[in-house]
Amino acid sequence: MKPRGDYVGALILVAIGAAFSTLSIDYCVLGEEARISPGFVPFIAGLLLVAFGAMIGWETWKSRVHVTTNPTGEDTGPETETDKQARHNTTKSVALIFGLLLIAVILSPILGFLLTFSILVFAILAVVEREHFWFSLVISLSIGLLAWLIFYQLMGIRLPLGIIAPLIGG
Amino acid sequence: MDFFAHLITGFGTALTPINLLYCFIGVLLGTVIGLLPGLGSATGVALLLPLTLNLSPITALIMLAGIYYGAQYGATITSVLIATPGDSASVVTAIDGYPMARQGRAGPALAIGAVSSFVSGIISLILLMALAPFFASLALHFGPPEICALIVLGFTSIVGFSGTSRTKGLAMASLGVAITTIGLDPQSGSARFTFGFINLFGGIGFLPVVIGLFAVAEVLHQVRSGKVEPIRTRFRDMILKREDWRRCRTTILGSGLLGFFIGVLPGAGATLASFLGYDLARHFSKHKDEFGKGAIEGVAAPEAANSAAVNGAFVPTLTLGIPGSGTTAVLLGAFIVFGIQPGPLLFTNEPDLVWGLMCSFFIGSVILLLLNLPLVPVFASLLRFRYALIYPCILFLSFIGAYAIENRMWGVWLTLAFGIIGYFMKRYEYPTAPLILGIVLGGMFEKTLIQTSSMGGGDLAIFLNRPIAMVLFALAALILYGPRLVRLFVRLGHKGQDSFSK
Repeated sequence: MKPRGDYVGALILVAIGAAFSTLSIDYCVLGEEARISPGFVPFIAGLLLVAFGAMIGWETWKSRVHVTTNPTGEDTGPETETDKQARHNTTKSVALIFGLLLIAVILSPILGFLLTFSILVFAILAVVEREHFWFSLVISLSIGLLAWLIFYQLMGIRLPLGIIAPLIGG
Repeated sequence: MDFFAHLITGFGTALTPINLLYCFIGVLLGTVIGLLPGLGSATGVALLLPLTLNLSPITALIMLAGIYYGAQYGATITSVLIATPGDSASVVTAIDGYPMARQGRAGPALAIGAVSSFVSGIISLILLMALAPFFASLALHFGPPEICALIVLGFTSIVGFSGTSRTKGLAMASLGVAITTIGLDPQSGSARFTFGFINLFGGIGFLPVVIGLFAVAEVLHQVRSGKVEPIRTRFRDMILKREDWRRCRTTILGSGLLGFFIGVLPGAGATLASFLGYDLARHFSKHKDEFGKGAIEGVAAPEAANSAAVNGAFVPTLTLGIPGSGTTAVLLGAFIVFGIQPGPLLFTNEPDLVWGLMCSFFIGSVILLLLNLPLVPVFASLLRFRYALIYPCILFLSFIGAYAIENRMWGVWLTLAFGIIGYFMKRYEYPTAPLILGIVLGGMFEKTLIQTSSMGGGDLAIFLNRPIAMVLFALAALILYGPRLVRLFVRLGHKGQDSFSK
């Protein structure tokens, strides 16, 4: 139903499969007396990926006539300006969360895991969800404190403390 | 007579106030641990083992078994409510449990999860007590070729998890198998697809992948789908109805028995049991179309299979000293810490301990049910909060869980990467479950295939000399092609009738 996405998906699968199959030859597919060797399973899995990827591409091409209809077969009609705007906003939110998560993972070893992810919760609530500043702050601090108590204190999981290590004796 | 005498001794030991208290504490702590993403029963038992060192061996083992039980159910709660499986065995529960929760039926989903775990747990305990030595001897007939054939049977369930496109399901399962080959090769120990990157030597961890594909991807998917309304349900809608129970009765029994048998086999584990239990239920259900969209049997089946497999895993652990699962491997370590040697002589040398432990499983199951069933509406009420408030907390807990599993940032990176992959998979309708199945079974499949190849001196025709393996292969072929053959015969029959009447 989403032909461009399916073509891209099929292409990615074929590429991954081809990479697995080609590289696995270096690990030896069949050894002495045709014994299964380290390259056998990735070689077969790679070949299957290539085959199924190609089939997905073929099935998408065959069903291209249904592109303008939804899965139930009814015509969905053109997208309105409001729908477009709403879709644009939600896609922007997803991209923003992606970005915030990436920054949080990069900064965790430096700022400390709990502090970074508490800031992440705050940023999502305040920026993406447009919640009230103080409300976002209380929620993010509470979840950070709760996680510190459960994971760090009770379960003894040594989370990276980063710059806050001297403050809490880590 | 011996059996009943042992049973009375066992209950006498398990029902002492101190053992009851520690069983309760174990179940409670286990449930809390299960609620935390990534911290499954094996991690829970390992983390809390030091707390039991000052207790008597039987009390300590009862508490650890309670943690094991509790963690299994705790993982179900997060699977159903926020599509974040606490451990690998509860992945399948999310497939129907989460859609049920989004339809306002979190209560019945959690309740059937608890009830089916309890019922199949009790049935499998009876089997464990009465027939443990028999099942242990049966498990000994399962060598690498048989386990390999069982895994092939497991792969057939991809069909049931593929959703609208079987090709996409098969592609995802192949990708899952390919992913398991990253890291050190189980045969030679040589590094594959690591490109000198040291973190890849240990392979791609299963739980960070699951957390990414389920929790993170689901959050992003929901955010993209727009404003998610809080789910407000009436109290009476949170209770299990007679119709729900009627639909699940046979499912619980069938999946429970299957789960127990798979649990008995060393290495097969509760995850494979839950996948096969789900597939079995789908095959025999009158509501096949509802599976994947919120079928109550889709929650009952994996939970029953999972719970029975947990008990089944104790058969090889207690009778042979071979762990049946990751958690029983940790428990086996606990046995040795307390100076107890599991194996064929355990039942003769330590009858009080073994029977006390097995009876405590009964009591643990009852405590688990009594503790969790009244709390179902409370857990389900979590969904009354606005999603905008819940999902940042889900992300926080998911990433902290991913760190806790690997104790390094690598798990967190994996979760992020698979969260993004999972988001695009959802967007372009690539099913997640076959990928998970491929990852679960891929490693086991390769290991057993290599062992079988070595046994046959490179000749895989060794399978032909193994009747159990052949039966399992035949069953796999029947599951894959049986329905098509039936349809073909029906069509041929109709054609024959038509030409006869003409």
